[in-house]
Amino acid sequence: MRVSVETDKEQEEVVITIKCKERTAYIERLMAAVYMVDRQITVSQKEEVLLLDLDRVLYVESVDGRCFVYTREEVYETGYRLYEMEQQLCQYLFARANKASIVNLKKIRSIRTYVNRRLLLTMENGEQLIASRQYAESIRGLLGISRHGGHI
Amino acid sequence: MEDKKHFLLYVEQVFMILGASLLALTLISALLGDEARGYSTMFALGSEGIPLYTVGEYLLSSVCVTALRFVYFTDTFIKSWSMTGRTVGMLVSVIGLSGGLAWLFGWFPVDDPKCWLAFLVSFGLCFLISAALSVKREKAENRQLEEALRHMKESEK
Repeated sequence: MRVSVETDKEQEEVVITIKCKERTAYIERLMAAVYMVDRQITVSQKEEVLLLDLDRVLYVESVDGRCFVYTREEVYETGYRLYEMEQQLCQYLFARANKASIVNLKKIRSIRTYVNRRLLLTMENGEQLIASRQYAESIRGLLGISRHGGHI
Repeated sequence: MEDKKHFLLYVEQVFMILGASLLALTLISALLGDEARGYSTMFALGSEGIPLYTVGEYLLSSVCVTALRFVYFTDTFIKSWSMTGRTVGMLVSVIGLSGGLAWLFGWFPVDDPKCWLAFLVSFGLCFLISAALSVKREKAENRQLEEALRHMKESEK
């Protein structure tokens, strides 16, 4: 891949053009990475491809190998695997909650301790997710709380 | 690595329970040991201390209680019980276990209702104290989590 930048003082909006032989999965990933800079992800719903603002995402869940993105009102599908979503989203305060889901920490309404050092996360739409013990420690860490309850 | 960490956490639990039990027993022994000498094998030495075999019996008891905690407070065996159900289950099991061990090791005469009453009162008291401490700790932790979440959201605005 070769990257070139053309500057033009008359140009008002940044335009990125990808030149390629055909639109492959690699190209899709490349586009997604570019959109991610503007805090957007590509999702699909009823065979329509859309751009979704990260600020609308509550959580991402993997079900039977397919990855779904949940907002307050809608559910979208994304072609990415959960670990790929995790890699892309971790810089935007998203955290793995358990083996099957990634949550947007900014969209948690309330957070409580749960049996066996897990966490019960209530999202802004009232849905509840349980963070497994392993990932609960990471979430505590992201919130600046150590294992024994003190601030890091 | 994770298994080793879990094992060490269980060992830590066992010794925490054992330590607390032996501390309470030593205090009771110092206060009432001479009077209870004939009643219980635990106080065979009177107010001089606790016999070595009692320490071993309490170690066994602590291992069993930790195992019960593992059964009731993880999802390994029980998946969908509420917190209240788990607590009641744990309570009933621990009373049953303690009664069995009391009969087996002669901790108190199991055919004497007064001894059972004393056992249930002291057990209930210990349970209430430990439950109150747990609730207090949980509330403090929840408050800390909510506070940290609020702080994180505000700093992101």
